[in-house]
Amino acid sequence: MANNVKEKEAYSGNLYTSKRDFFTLAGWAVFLVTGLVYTLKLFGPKNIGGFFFPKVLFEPSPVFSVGLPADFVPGTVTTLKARKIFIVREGNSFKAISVICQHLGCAVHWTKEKNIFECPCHGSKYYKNGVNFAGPAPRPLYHFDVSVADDGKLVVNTEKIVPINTELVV
Amino acid sequence: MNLISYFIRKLTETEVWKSVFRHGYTDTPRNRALQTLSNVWLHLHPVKVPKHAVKIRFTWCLGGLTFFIFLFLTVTGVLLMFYYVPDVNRAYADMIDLMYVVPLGRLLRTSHRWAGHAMVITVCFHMLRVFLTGSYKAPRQFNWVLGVLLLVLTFLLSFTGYLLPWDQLGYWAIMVGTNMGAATPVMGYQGPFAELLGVKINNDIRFALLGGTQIDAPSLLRAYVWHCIGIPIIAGALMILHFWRVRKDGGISGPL
Repeated sequence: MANNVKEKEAYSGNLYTSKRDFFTLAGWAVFLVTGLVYTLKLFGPKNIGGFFFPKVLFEPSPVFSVGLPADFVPGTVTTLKARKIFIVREGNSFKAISVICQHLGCAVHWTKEKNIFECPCHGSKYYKNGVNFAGPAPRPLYHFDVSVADDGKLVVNTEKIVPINTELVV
Repeated sequence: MNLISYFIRKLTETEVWKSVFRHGYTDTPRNRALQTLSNVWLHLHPVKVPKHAVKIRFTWCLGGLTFFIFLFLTVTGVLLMFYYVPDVNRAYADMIDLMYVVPLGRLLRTSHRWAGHAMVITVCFHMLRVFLTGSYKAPRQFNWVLGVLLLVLTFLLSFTGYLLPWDQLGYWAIMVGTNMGAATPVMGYQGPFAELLGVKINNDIRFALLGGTQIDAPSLLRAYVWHCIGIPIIAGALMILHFWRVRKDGGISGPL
């Protein structure tokens, strides 16, 4: 019975029905578009300003000075714990190698006796040039860009990952 | 007339009583049905229970156990929130305070942790039971899907809770877990096709989870909010659907 009444309403007074239809559609359109925009802003990627991607980070700068070349003894690996990098000096060439294991992100350490980097978590091993040779690590350790600043100090940029044969000769 | 029954009748005829209790206790089929139907705690249950539903060795009550543990975790979790602050300078100390100085704190924290482990276990066993009894088959396919989502949410609750003590175990667990996220195809900066869309360390899924490129203060806060508010609300909503579907898809599963 209720259906009959509804049908009658729909047939009589086309003007009001279409006006009502218009507002129904317009209402839904506004609701859906607003919902979509907010959903995108909330869960969307960084390039559209997604809520979960902070624009300002309170993290250490990715570019930093590590000191004069003479501070590093030739043929040694220096661990800069706070910066999470190794400075590897061979003669006059310098490399900045990440301490972050390429398996699951633990911190590898330099084992002087064996001349290799070892990861304490799952046993990944890397040669002095950062190339993985044992354990679950899938790729070599990251090598970061090293340059010399105007004051003669070495500057590492951890945002720039360079090929593993790159070295800075001073 | 007996004085006691007179007062009982007077009491049960007041407006206050009638507005709270809608039916009598005379043992009639109607009152039996109403007892379940009109009770805030019992209305989840069917008015009439099929005989097979009382056979505990078919379902082992695993879904119900999981829900009970979830309620337990909610209560203990809210109590823990009174003493715990998700700040990198305080979190670990607050956890230690809970263990040594807060009254009942050690029991609360320890039971919250154990119950968290227990929920993961009962959820897995629940899923195993549903699979082995074929209870995922028609007409219960949709409820199986809801169940899978709830399983994932249970894992996420367990995972986000792991970081909150801000100790070495939690820190490295989150390190490993979010690095797995970094290896996700397309969405993670170390995963396949990352270069294709310009996905880098500062705009991938790991970045969104941690609120930065490394585990730091924003990560702890994010884990806390997801753990205490975000995921429980989503899981709660899905649980409502899950229980509703149990009823709508022919009641509790039983032997054919």
